Amino acid sequence: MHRSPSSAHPRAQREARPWLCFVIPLLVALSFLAPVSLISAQGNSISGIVVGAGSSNPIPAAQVQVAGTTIGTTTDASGRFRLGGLTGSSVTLEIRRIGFRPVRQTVTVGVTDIRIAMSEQSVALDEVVITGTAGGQAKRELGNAVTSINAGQVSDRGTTNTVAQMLNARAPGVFINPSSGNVGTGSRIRIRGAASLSLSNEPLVYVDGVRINSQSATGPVNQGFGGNSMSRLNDINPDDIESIEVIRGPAAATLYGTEASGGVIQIITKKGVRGAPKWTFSTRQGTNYVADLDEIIPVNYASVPRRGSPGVRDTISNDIVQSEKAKGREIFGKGRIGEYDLSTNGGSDLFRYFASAGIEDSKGVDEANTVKRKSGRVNLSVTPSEKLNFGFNVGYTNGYVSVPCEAGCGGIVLTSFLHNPANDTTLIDGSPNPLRGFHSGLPEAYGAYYEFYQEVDRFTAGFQANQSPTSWFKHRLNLGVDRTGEENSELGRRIENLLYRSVLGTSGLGYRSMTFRKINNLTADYSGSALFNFSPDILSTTSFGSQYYRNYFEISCAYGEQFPAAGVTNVSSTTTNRSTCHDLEEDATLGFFVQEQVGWKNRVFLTAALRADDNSAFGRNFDRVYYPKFSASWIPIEGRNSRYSFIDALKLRAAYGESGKQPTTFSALQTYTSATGPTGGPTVTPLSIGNPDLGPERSAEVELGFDAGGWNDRVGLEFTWYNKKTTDAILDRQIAPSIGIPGTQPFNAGSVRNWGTETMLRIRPVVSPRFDWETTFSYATNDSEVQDLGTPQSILDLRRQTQCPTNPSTCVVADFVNASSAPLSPRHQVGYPIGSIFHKRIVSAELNAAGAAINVMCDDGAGGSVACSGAPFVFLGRTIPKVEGAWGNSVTLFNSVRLYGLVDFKRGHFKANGSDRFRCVVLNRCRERWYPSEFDPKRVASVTAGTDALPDSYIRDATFTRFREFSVAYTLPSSISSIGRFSRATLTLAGRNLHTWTDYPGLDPEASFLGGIRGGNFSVFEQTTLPPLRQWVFGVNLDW
Amino acid sequence: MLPMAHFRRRSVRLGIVSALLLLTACGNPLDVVTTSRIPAENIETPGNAQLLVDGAVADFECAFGAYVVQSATVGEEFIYAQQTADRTPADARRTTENDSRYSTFSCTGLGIYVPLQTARSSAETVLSYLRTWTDAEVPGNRTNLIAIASAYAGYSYIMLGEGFCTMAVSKINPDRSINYGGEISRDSVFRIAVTRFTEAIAAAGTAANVDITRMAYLGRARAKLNLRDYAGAKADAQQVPAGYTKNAGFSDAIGRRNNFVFNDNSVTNRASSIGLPYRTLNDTRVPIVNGNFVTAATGIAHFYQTKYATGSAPIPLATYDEAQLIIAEADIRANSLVTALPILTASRTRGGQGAFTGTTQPQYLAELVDQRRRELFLESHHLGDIQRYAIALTPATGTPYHFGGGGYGTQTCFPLPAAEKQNNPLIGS
Repeated sequence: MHRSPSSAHPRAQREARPWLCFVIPLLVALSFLAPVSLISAQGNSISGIVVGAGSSNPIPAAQVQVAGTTIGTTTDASGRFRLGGLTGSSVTLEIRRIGFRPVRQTVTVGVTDIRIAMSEQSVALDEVVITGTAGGQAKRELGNAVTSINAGQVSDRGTTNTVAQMLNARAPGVFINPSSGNVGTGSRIRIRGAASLSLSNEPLVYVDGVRINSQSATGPVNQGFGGNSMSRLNDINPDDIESIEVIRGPAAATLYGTEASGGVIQIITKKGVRGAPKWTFSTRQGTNYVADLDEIIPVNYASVPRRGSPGVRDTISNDIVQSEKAKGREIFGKGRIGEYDLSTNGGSDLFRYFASAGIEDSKGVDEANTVKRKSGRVNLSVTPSEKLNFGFNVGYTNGYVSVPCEAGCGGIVLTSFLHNPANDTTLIDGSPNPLRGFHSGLPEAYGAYYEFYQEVDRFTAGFQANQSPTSWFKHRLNLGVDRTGEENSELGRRIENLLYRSVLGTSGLGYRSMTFRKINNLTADYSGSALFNFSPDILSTTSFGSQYYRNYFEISCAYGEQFPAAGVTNVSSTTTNRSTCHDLEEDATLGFFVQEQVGWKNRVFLTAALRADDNSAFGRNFDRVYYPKFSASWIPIEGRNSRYSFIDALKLRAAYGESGKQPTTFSALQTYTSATGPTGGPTVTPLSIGNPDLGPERSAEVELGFDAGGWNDRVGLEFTWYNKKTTDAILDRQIAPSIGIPGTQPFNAGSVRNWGTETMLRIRPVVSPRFDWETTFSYATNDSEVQDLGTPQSILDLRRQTQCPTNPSTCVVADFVNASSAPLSPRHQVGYPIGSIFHKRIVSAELNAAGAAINVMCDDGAGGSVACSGAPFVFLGRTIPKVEGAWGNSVTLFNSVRLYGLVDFKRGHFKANGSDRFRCVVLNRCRERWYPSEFDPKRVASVTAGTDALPDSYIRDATFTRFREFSVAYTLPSSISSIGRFSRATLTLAGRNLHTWTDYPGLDPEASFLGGIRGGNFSVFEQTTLPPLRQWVFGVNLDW
Repeated sequence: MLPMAHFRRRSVRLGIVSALLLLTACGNPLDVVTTSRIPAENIETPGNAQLLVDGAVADFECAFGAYVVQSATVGEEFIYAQQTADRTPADARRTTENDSRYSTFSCTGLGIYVPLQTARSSAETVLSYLRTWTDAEVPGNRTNLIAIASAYAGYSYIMLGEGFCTMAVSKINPDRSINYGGEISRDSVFRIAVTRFTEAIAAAGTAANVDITRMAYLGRARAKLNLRDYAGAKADAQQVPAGYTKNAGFSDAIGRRNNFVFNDNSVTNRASSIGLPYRTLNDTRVPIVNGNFVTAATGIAHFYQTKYATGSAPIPLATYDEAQLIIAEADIRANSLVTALPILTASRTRGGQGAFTGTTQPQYLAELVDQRRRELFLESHHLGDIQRYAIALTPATGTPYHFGGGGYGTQTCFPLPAAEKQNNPLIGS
């Protein structure tokens, strides 16, 4: 059957997947296991509810444990719990919950209406976080800051679709940079700025202790320029996550060793809890759309010859949004959000489980943009004895994301933003111009011609064994694998429509690019901790461990051009320029650590640690690297203090630590590559010189701060100052060609300093059962300075270097080379922030009578001015925000209505407004080109100087404030929810990206290219990139 | 609680057991596959001697193909006809040491400095190994491989010497340390070439490899010609028998082995056109066709060669005819015009020219130069000849260059690239 070109890919239409046949029966089967176990348990039971002190709000996910036993459970979404198998007349319960003071309460066995009130804790000193040691550490012991995000709470609000969105504005110092507004696209993550000049600055990501692939810029070639990048973090279903911990810098991440200098993100998925099976079903249905379309699609100008007077040209203008409306069309449609999640958990003392299945079926505002993702997770826990516990975690994702043509290849945003009034005039025969005023193709043409998609199969599995063989020793073994298979496809169909062909030219004959990637990450992690009491007041904890990580990456691709007939779309049917590629890389890290911690009266903790790493990518003369760590934590005030009665807790902390970043795989090796010999046979040719002395980049960080809580835990303040210095940063240098080996040589030489502060203030002005209000304000600063580039010159320009013989899919892309020709690329320059933008800056200009810019003077770099033709490049702006923060408010009314709002902001960073560049400078379609006297002469000088000659008017401050999230949730009274036998039913209305305050004149201050030839480590370039969409969703959450 | 000593003992024991388990179970856990990269230390073994020599030959042929194009561009044989900015400096004879095309590009990108240095280094590297490896270690005939590697190393030096104004020669050692070489003159380069060819002649003689023997004799003759050792050049050239041709081989199936001359100038490849002095020679050795096409962007009329009719056509590297012209030059320099005349006459006959009527030594020398540019058209010789014979350039210096930026320059050799000067500690920028 012939398929219409614009219909979705057949893969997208497969609603029923074999995996569903596996997951759903498994969910049902698991739910039957627990009752069997429970039935076998003998004894009496208790039940009750855990609520917040003051507010009386139910507290879900609180751990309720019978002291001295393994009997325990967690509260459900209504705060309720039930414990069975109890003996005796009374038991002592220990209740813990992140952010609340632990409660210890003795109750009578058999009572079913126990009410336990927990006080919110402004400083959660006893919250256990993952630090790399066995069993984690309580926050009171840490000399550094760790941010914990209650993912379940965030998910319940219904405002986030991805893990990156969960992180955004919830952890100070974490910068999320989205690539596009298209659904399914991802974001770049930076923690405490960027410390590496040439390597990835992405943080390490672990899921339940397994290191995973979290690449932020993947996808079908990113349309050349790097739009619509897809992040592997999006493969994780946010509804499966219990909490996220952010370990920000080397001072905290030392035990994670090489690769951790960009920070560490620990994702902890939900686990089963003892008790009868509990089911949760949630769905989110909604819409997304381009907000304020009239404002972002400008009026454009052009000139056309006057009919009948060919020598005379008239200036004309058009508003494509209005002209399309007048023709009964909308440029963008409305997208659709559809998500469904079903989960169950339960278990016995011996066996616990959590299992979930999720479906995401969403569409963007472009017909070509869809997400169809199915995920499943099974987390099992087996506890044969009080001393031994096993965990098995398996997650599977099958995702299909199709994205529209964008940026470099055209697309709806491009053809409408750059619309050409000359294409909306009446033709000589009186008929309307079939291009309707669009710049190139009609919006519907792109959907008919292009099809870009990525399909992912991902399997992440982990096994944990925790044992406490003695009272003084515990250890843990963690084994895991993360396997990702990607199919990236870029299809340009053969087009027979002559109008479309006229736009697409010879490329209208079609092409197909297929890229397949396999990425496997293996984790083996063993650690042990031994406790020793020197005296009743002094506790020693000695930890040691070893980690082994192995990463495997394989890519293969096929490419071809020109199909012989419409409807044929496979590479084998192409008739010219066929090419293939195949490559694989592997690297491995083996590390050991030992840590000694001494605690005094549970108030003072001193920690010293040393980690040693060896890595397959190190040069052969570089043996191994050692990272030291020292930290101190002092809690001078805990509980009520007679002298400072308004302070509930105060913790002072200081930490110094180091971690690193491994060189690129194989970069240290002198290598040959295969070549065709003189008679056509196989031979070799030198490929790279390597560097036998090459070692990792080292980042050393000092961190000082305090956590304080006061006024009955109504105010919590967390403050951190950090100073991070990266040395031995890896750079590439040109080698003397007379050595006889082509290419460049990596070497350790650069130095970068990052410093800043992170503040988190939480206030609960009103706490009552009827009205509970919590407001949170976070504020983080970051500054940086390149201190050394290891070369005689003090400037290194950044450029995405591509080697693409005939096909972008086969490009070998380097993030950094010592050369520049990409437009407006950032550079590293000694004395300035890392990855900043430098170019000529206009300081004055005049307009002559004809409206031409004259007497254009530029900054001479020394406080004066000089004719722009001879002006030097000067610092225009940094690319990483100097300040970022958020203000969140949560209000609970009558225990049943919750209102939430989040506003976030980023300030002090610049973006290259490639949309403006293309529209005004290249295509002459902005008003400045036609009515210059209305504008600032400097702006006129910039847009008329030629492409990128004087670009400072389109390199602009991207400071913005965004009303990011809003939600209102209503929990139905139990009298109503019980009708459906639900223990809890909640309805949610949530919005996202509701308003933006910014002076940035481009399409959006956030979205920019992350991959492709204009992406990279420090890219800030956008060109007709779809802004983040406004989104409204209605959610239903049912527990039973 | 246990005493500290007990704890330490158990911890140490546990650590040792864990480490032993890891090591015995996994071997070296940091070993990784390098299937797409070949570590030098794995391939530079006696068993791979033939492979490495083949690699050196392949490196040379690729570099040689690029050199023929670039030397033709800076010389008179080609005019660059398109708009790619980084190809115009060579065409306008205004290449600076910072231009990247000639200096750091690969051979497929028509770079010449890095490719020729790579070819030289590949040959020198395997040669240094072959000198230390034994016959028993090397499969096949080690001496024959020494002959081949030496001969191709010699020709790399020839191209570097003829194409560049000065040169540097560095070396990477088996322990991956580097011996940098300072800036040296062209004559110094040709002297190294003579040494390599001498080693090749000796080894090829031992190995009874006649083909390489003749190639090396002719290479040494060319080097000596550059050193103005005309008698020595003649003696070597006389070792080349009639009919001898040594080609650089190419194939249109693999990009790196394409004949880049064909790729740059042929009926449908219009990157370059034929230079003005060659368009109307009416000589069968300089087969030129008027393509009747003008490149719109530059206004350059497309004339194309048919000497290399496909991307697989071989380019002569050393021929009997070249040897004869070297002998003739030596005779002319020695004022033995009588012995030179038959060679010039034979050469003219091959091109369909009439009898030579010159009588004086300068006329003979001019005729020799003309015969060389015809006989050795697009075979890598003319740029060197421009320097040796101080040939007046066409278009003349100062003639407005069609792509703007001023007139044609005076350049007749490529400068030592900045990439070398800035990164070679013995030179400095």
